[in-house]
Amino acid sequence: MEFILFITFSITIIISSFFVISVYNTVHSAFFLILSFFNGSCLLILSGSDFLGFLFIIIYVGAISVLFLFVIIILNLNQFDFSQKHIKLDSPSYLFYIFLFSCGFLSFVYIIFIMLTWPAYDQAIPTLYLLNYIQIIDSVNNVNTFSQILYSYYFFYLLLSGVILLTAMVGSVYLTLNKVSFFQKVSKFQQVHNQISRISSASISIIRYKNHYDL
Amino acid sequence: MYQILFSELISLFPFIFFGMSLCFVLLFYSLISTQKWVYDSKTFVFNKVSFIYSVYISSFVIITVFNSPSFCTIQFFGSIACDSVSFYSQLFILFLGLICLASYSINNRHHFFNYFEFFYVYLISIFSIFILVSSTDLISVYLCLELQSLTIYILSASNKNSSFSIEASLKYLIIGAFSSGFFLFGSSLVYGFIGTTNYFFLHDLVNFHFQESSIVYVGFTFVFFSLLFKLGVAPFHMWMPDIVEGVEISLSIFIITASKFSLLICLLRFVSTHYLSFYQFIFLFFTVLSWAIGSLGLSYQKRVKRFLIFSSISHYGFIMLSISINTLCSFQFAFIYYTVYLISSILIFVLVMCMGKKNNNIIIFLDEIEGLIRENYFLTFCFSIVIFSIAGIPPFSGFFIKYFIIVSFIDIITVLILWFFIVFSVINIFYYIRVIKLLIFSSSFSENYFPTCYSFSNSSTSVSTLVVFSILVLVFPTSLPLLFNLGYYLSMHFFFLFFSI
Repeated sequence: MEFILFITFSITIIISSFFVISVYNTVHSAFFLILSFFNGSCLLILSGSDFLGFLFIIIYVGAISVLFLFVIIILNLNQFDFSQKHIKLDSPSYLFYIFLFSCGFLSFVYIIFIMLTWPAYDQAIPTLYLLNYIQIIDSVNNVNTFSQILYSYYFFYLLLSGVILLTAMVGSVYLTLNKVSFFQKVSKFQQVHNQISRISSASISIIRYKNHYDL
Repeated sequence: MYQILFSELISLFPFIFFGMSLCFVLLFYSLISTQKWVYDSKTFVFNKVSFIYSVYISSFVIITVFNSPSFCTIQFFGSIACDSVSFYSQLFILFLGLICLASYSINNRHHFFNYFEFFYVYLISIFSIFILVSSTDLISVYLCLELQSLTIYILSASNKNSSFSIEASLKYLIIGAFSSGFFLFGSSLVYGFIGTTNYFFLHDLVNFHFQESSIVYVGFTFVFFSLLFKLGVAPFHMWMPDIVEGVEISLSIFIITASKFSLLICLLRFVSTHYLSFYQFIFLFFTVLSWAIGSLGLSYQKRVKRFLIFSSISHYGFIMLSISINTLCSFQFAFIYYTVYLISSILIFVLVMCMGKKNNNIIIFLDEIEGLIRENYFLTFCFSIVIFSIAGIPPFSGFFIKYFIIVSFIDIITVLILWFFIVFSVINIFYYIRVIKLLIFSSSFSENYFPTCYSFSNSSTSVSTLVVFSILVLVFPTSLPLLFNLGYYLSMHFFFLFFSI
């Protein structure tokens, strides 16, 4: 079973990474990139390093590939006209697409299966008269070990990285938000809610001019 | 399991207070200041900063009460040491942060004065410096460096209308990512070959048990060079002028004082775990290069900020020189030099900020201060005193610290370095005197650069008292013995911290 899974995942990685560079549509190639990362994480889980596999999915698929997709969609590279000098490959048939996405679906199902059977490792201790102590010790998986260290000995670093994430969030909101400031009521487009909520008493105000504040 | 004793909790109280206040300030501003009655009342808009000021002042009190420097506690499994170095530098950094915040009130015409996020990110930056100053583990140093540089990216990009500030932010992002990559590579080598990232264990292992492998020293060198890169000493100075010129002037004060001070403390903590013999050569090399580039960069410099930054690079040469000797006395002189340098650099930036043109812009070129004496006598007097102190003219304390460093280390360092010092300081002084000539003895008086200066009564009173106070410090070097004692206390702690456990 494991050998078959290994073969399918690795073949899917090879084929999808080939299609990343050969497909004309950039959005499709980004999808192929995500597929190859997904299968790579499946291979890592298969080889026993499950924490690394989850990190692969979280970092590469969750952050970087989605960032790629956003950039591609924003830049609108679909309209880019490739010249004839490039090696022309025939677009793959739909059967092939179906095969590849079934492989991706298989890997997805595998990860879901692993996640569902996760606590079974801990709880499936034989409750008969013989306790298998080696299995009990071994059944502490990678994620469990990492979390035990991270939340006890390295909790300070966890807090600090939480502050880093908070800073990144506040900073991205601050840099992208175009808040109209108190004095500077400039609107470049129609703001309906301001027009509806306009009251006659609040619309006129007397501001005393101050030289110091340079209003 | 991990248990915190009460005495340890007391020494951790400043950090806990600062972290809690970060959460509280965010909640307060995001929930209350968006209410309509708050938005309508004009007084609150101007007092938005006052809440953050109160956080500052209460943390002053808390640090002085709870973080008593008489004993040293090591927290979080060796990742933080609450000792006198961290105590004094925390107080110092709070003071610097207050000055930089106060300097925002001089030029409050900027749009980001209305955003609370700007001051919130500023507070986070101070928090990261707090931890960086007291961190004794490579991981916590890395995390604090990242947090601090992340806040500076945000703060420097906050002036959205200026393309210079966006450029500075992007440059700082790339440079910071580059140097922290080096840092991570070096620390991974150290962890791979020694098996710990903790400074205390590193000190014991390198000095007493571990002499063989040379790859560890490669790792140490990577970390060392990345810290020097972030400090911006001479061969790695290339990013400094672009970035500090691009950002807002109050933020550039913050970058070249508080963030650099924390990096210097961090570098000293790292170096004092293991002082490799070739560090001395590197420090001396950097000293001479800093003097050379600092003095040659001043030549025909048209812009004010670049002028000040190149002068600060040549000042870093002295600090590198006194660190290179690696004795208690030399660390003491490095601290004293840095303190006087900080005071003079803050002063000169605040004075530049107080000068304004007709359209209320801050001066950019050196020509614009031409004939300042016809406009404002007091400002010219202060400016020329600070310039004299930076150049090292005898009655000011800028002279005395250079004198002490050269006299005390004249037996140890080679004569060649003294020759370099003489040559480059002559070049330096020529350009400083040129600025004073522009200020006072200028014959031409162009209408284009008409310096309509703010008088001090017009700007905020706190800044003017600060200016007067620190000019008194610079003029009367009687305050130097106090600095000497403080520097002795701090540098003693660097040497005996690792033996105190």
